[in-house]
Amino acid sequence: MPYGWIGKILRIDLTNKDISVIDTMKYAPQFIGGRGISIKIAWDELKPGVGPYDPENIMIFMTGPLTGTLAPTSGRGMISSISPRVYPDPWFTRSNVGGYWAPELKYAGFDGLIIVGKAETPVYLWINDGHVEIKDAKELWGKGTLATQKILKDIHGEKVQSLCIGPAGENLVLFSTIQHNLSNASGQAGFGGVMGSKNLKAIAIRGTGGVEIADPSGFMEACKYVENLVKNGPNFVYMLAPKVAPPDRINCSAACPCNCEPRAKRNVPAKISSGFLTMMEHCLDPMFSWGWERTEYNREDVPEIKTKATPGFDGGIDVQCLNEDLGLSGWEYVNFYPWFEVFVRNGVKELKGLKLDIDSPKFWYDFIRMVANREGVGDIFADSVIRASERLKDLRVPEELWDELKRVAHFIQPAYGFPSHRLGRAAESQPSPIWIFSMLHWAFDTRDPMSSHHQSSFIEYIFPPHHGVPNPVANVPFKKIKTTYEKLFGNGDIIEPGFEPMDEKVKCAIWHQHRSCIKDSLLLCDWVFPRTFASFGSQEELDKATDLVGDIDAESKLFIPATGIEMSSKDLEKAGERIYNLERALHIRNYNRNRKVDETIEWVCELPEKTDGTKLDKDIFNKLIDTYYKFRGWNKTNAWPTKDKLKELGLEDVARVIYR
Amino acid sequence: MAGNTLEIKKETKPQRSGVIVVNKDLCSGCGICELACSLYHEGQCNPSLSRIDVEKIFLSLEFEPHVCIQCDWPSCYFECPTGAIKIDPKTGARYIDEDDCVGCGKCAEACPLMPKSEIIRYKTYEKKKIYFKCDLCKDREEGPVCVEMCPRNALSFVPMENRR
Repeated sequence: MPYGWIGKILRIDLTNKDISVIDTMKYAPQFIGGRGISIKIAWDELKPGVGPYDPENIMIFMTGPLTGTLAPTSGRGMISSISPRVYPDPWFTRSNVGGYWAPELKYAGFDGLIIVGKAETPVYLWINDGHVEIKDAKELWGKGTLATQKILKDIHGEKVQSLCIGPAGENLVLFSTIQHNLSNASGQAGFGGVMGSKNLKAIAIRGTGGVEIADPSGFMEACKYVENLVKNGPNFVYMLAPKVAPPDRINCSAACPCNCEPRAKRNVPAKISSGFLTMMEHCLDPMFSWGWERTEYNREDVPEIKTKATPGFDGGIDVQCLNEDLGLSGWEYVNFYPWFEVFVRNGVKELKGLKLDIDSPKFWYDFIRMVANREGVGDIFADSVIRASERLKDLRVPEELWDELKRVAHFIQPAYGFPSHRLGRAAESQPSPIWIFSMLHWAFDTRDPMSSHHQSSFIEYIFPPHHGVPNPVANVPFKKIKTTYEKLFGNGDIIEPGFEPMDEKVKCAIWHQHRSCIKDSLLLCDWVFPRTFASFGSQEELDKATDLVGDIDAESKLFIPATGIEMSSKDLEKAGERIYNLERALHIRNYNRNRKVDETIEWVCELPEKTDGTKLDKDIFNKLIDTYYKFRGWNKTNAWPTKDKLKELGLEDVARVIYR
Repeated sequence: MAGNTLEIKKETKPQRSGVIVVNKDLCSGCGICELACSLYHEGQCNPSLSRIDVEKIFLSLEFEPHVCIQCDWPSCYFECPTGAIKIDPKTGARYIDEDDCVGCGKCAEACPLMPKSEIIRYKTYEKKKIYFKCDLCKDREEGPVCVEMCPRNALSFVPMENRR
């Protein structure tokens, strides 16, 4: 048995009930785990032309070498598949989820789980200490995600950890989740529907095995060291937070020691339903309970777009709990709310009998149920905003409003059908140059990239007021931020507003993409890694520090004693580059990914940033992505990795396929 | 021989022990204590080999770590037929000497907190059961590893002299 990894990946074909085991070490350490091993498996198995709901679609549930250990924030797992929500056409992408299921999968004897095929009738998987059974799930079908998990615990024991879908997944809602525990979800990619299409209601896991560690005492020391680095949480947002979280904060995943935002709400009196509610509160849950960044996009130079991000009202927790129980993504309402606001502003008060009373919790309570069950207009909205904007006729919206409604729909879902996220336009502010990095991540990724890139964007929280952010979390002289970039990347001007120095800015974006692949593969929390910046307990401590550099070797310091494999930060970054290039190759082979697709994000960035008004033009964008392709070693005409680049990364076989 | 040990034990009032005190209201269920414990004692990360067990109460978001309370009058110690449960003179910990454990399970049966709190467990080694329980990390200079690693200060160590 290897150290860190378990060494086995379980493969289940639901059509013919074939169960087999693959050796993990075929893929490790060169693809690390999680996102990396998943993309390699997809490259090997997933043929072009497969749709999200076809039995041939593959679902990969993958852990990493640190999962199941006490490495800080290591309790997450990665899910990859073809996402039905990608617009205009579905393609392969990823969506990870925390909680306790991923460590449990390793304790049960597997690094990962590959699911193909389609069961004839509803089933669930029961994975118990190396054994797997495909079991009848007729009694579970139609049930909410909390009831489903409770029943599985009643059948298989209290320590069972399950992933499951709710009615929304069964009904193939495009933003349906795979739900776990109270509010952990693989949310953004609509993978609930993929499980639903396979008639797979749930995966119940229990294991009593362990993860072998190469150097137990060295690993313990490394964990202690990193725990102290990360204890006050994501390094920008919580720069000055205390190192011990208040008791009402319950972390979202196993092995997380951080003082972070997710927190428990126990026994909250319900407002709409009856009784009491207990739930976790994430950055996306409060949008119903207390509203979240309600600033309007209200610039004189863009008169037609004035959107608030989210609602927020008493009784919001009821709405969020229902949403999770039915298996829907809460993130989606950053789209629906501003979109419905345009209807209301233009005098559309109802849609086929659904009154657009969008500031009332009752409206959302009903709306969510209609969507999850695809009842009435819920059937149209179940396909999310951008696809619903193509059915305005079916919604009986007056024709003179179609153009504006379509434009706003595209504005709030600017690329690939994913909600705008940290672009400085529809949702959060991102003063220059932060939005430029965000845009580069959006341009080349296969989804909303922010779930893997918060660290390059969170710096917004310490930008001094003169850079457009009204309330920085800490008082950090801009000079200190520059010194830190200088030490990390060799040039402090990277963090100056504007597009120059372009070479350095682009290289910095590429570095962050590789670091994303590393943390998504080990797996560690995106909010917390890499530790580019340090955290401090107080403003005084911060003032005393000569620079703000954290420790970007933290991942490697955990990886080496856990696995016994000497991989420095540079080696891990090379693996990150391999993973990023293989993702690109898969998208070239299966979906004809090209330069034109990379340009999808451009138009929205030609609109001014929300707070500082900075914007893009076509020439600068062309220069930026030419520079990007140059440093990537990609051909700038078709955006393919060159043969030399693939060879350098040990991907000669991949080169042979795409260049055949 | 074993019989004699038992009789002697019953006549002696055992030395008191230090103890790990749990404040369950501070516990966030991260499980770092379990993983640190199994890593220190068994060289692997495995909650099932941990001497501390964090109960996660689904739907109520409550957590309760269970760990041996190192009784003043330890039934496990008195019931062990082979003398495998010993008392560490430095910490007072009631611990199982693996070399002497025959896997009979009398200790777990005798424990007043079992089976609700899973604090005496067994592992299987070469088809033999070996029981294990919290030994307060008696050989570790810094004291119990779970206490040191808990990020919420939900666990604390009270040495025998301070125990009420």
